[in-house]
Amino acid sequence: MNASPVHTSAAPFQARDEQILWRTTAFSCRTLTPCAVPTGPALLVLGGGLQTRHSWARLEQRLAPHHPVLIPELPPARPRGAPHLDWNDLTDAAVRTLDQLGVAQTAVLGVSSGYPVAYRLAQRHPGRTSHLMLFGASPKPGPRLTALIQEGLHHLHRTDPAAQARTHQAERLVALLTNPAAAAHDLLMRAAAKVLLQHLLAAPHDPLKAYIRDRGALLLQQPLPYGGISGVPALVGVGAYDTTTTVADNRAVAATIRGATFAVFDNCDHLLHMERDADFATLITRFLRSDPTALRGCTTEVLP
Amino acid sequence: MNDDVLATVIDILTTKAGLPPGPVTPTATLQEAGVDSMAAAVLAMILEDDHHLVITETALTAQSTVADLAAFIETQLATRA
Repeated sequence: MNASPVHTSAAPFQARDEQILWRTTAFSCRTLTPCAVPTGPALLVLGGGLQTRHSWARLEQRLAPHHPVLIPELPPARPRGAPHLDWNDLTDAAVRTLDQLGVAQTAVLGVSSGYPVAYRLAQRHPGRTSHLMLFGASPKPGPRLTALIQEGLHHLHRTDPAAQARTHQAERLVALLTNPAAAAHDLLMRAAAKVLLQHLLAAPHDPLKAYIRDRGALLLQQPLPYGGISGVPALVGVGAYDTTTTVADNRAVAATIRGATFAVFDNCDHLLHMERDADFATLITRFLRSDPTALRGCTTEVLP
Repeated sequence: MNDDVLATVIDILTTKAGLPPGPVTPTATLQEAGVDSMAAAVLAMILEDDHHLVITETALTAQSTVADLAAFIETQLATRA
């Protein structure tokens, strides 16, 4: 959903792909290394369904000059011809990424359906998690998303639909993951939805099936584990117009993390990392630096 | 080339599409300027909304430099007129 970052001889960081060997398979991890001495912790980025290791170009430009950044492309939960994976498996794959790359401790960023993996990593490995940051998190999928996932599961083994039907599926997914009513009055929300639609239409597969195979199906299986988290500095953020994971949903997740900071961004929906990318990066940077400076257009509070 | 069009394109990319202004110079390639799919979408939507000019993102990002991009848009505006 983003173009590749610029690479020039003066680039402030170096990028390369590593192959992470995990169980009987392998997956790619984009690794970014600052050319200068890092000024903050490493950052593990766990994106959501349909995102790839190349989906974070703008965040890379803002953070990778200062932090080592790891962006694994975790395996799909329902790979063709292989056993299904659950949240614990994906968490194990994320830990394997850290082990293979020799990262003892890292800040963890989990976005959308990357959040259940990030949460479990922090919960089970608090000593390896310097900070936990979650955006677009919900204890369970809402009714509309649940219905779409169930429909997708029902059609999973059918032949891919014709092009016109695939376009319709892509449009339904975009309408569900964004807020068309709010976007009608906001250029960046409309643009983000358009980019997501183009991304889905450019893919060779039925977008709904791809979403279900990647993470969608797993969202029906307790994304938020029991037990909560304590002892890990945490930030949970959401767009004020997010209808996929609402403000209340995100607050509910934040409430399970002792002392979490809860942030609500104005003028954005579930794609806030695209719609307000600079503010998204700034909030992350300030959180990692324990900088309490307020961010315009973003309200924050610290929960008990 | 009309400098106003170039200035407008740079302004849209930096103030509306959120690109850091430093690399967005006339001679920068679109890659060097950081023009990504989001920036292209914003530019296309503003051209359509404010100038009634419909250009696909593919056509916009096929240009080489920021100045080329502005020249292409200028040509399209002239053709439309």
